[in-house]
Amino acid sequence: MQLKHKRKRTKNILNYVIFMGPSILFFTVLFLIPLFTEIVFAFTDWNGIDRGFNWVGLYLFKRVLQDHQYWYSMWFTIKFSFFVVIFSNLLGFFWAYLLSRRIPLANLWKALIYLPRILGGVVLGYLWRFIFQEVFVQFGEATGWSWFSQMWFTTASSSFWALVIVMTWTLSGYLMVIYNAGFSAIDDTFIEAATIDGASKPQILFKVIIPLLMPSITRCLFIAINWAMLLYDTNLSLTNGNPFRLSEGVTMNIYSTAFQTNQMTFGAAKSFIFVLILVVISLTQVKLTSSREVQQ
Amino acid sequence: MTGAKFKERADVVIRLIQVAVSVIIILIPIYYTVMNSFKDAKEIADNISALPKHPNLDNYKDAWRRLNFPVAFKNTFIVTLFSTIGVVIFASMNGYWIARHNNPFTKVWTVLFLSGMSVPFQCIMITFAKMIGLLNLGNKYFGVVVSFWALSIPMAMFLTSGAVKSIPIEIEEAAIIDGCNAFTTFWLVVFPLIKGTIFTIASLNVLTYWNNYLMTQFILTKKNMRTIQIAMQSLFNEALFSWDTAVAAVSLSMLPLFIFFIIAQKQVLGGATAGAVKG
Repeated sequence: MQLKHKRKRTKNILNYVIFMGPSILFFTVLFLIPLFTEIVFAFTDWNGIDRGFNWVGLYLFKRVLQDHQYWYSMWFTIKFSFFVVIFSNLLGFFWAYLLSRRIPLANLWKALIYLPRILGGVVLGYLWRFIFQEVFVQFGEATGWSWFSQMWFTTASSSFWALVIVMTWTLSGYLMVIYNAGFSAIDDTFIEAATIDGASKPQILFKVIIPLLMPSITRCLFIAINWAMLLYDTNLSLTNGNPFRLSEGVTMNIYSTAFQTNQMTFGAAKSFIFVLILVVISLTQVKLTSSREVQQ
Repeated sequence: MTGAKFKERADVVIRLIQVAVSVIIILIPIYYTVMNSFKDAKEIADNISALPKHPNLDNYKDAWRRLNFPVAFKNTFIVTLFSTIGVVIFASMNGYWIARHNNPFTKVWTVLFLSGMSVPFQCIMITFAKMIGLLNLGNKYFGVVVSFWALSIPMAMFLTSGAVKSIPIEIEEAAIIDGCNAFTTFWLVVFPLIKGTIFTIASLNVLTYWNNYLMTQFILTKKNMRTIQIAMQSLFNEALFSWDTAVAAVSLSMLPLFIFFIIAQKQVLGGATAGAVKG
């Protein structure tokens, strides 16, 4: 009896090893340990090579507070995210609204609107560099609209708006799919009842549909904020910080601190503060929007 | 009655026009890139909107050679394939076990995996790069594959966990009585039932892996180990080039994605809603 119990216990442990072991191993070695050490190193003067290091307390964080370039890129990222979040959500919502009623070829339209989202990484930026520097310029010269034919990526504002346009382009279709799922979950009887009661279309939209869609809105805002704030690949390929690091997002700033000027611990302190700010922004957003959610 | 019907028809037509116009605007950048990839530099400079006069593949030949496309494609393909297979196997087993065993050990790990979903890669990248060097994983397929596993297991795990919870536990109990052990119960009984979620996870991750740049560039630095994304970045970084080759390179690297999207469209769109927790 004792032996049987023991054998069962060993078998149980073996199952844990088989089912959870690999995941725990990979996740610990390549996520948890890097995360933990990155936080620890933000309080040290480790140079990345030597074995020894000293504790420096909050020294690096004080340095981050005085780093103008870092706070410039932070403000740049927040401003950029603000516009991307607004534009992509409005467009995504609008398209989902259009597709919420039965129209011919709905699935084809959906797939085509989603298409930009499958392109990612640096390719996305290079595609758009061509559009801005060649297509937009020729278009502007042909029509006389000087906004299009400006020298792209030579002024801070042109780089900023270029990034906003590209991110909105790639994100809106994605948000459309999520809003679309939200629309199809709405019970038609609510809208029918409102129509019978004589509500106008805008009234139905703002008093019935939007309150019922609040969970989707919470989700979409969260995704858009996180995507925009974490921008890197497109930033690198589209503007590469030009002109004069004036279109540099936070990730790019951290990257150059840690890997181009080799100040690893300083970079670690920067990323620590960045994640704190990101978490505060996302949590505030989730709290604000989810409090408006209603039960169907 | 006919009035109401007419109104409904008109509503559909108006929606259809709005959607079609939106789609055209969305596709313009892709159209211009692909269309101009068949022209030479002078034609592009002369009139960017004109259709190619003598459509030819010269740009593609050039881009093919400069990107070392067959090698880059092979690298990307290997990395994506093994990362996807691995994440499906490990994360689904993990997710299943956590869904069915509620004890302090699994609870602690649930919270830790949750942290993996909420902390972006940007926050760990500095020490992650050190770790890759320390473990000697640089310039190895295995290095990238394992890293992708580590980073995408959390979300895949929560998705399977959710799917498993919707399956009645009696099915598993019956399997155990029939002589299955935990391993065979999962693979023969549970896994087929959560296939939909598995396909969603797979298609979601295929695109993420294929398009990844930030993490891959820490690991694959050698010329013959480059993925498409990295080859593109170094092409634009190093070489003096004209737009004719560049647009062909962009089109060439988009092509596999388009093909994948046409094949797995349903799963990709389904994955967009399911994986909305983390992009």
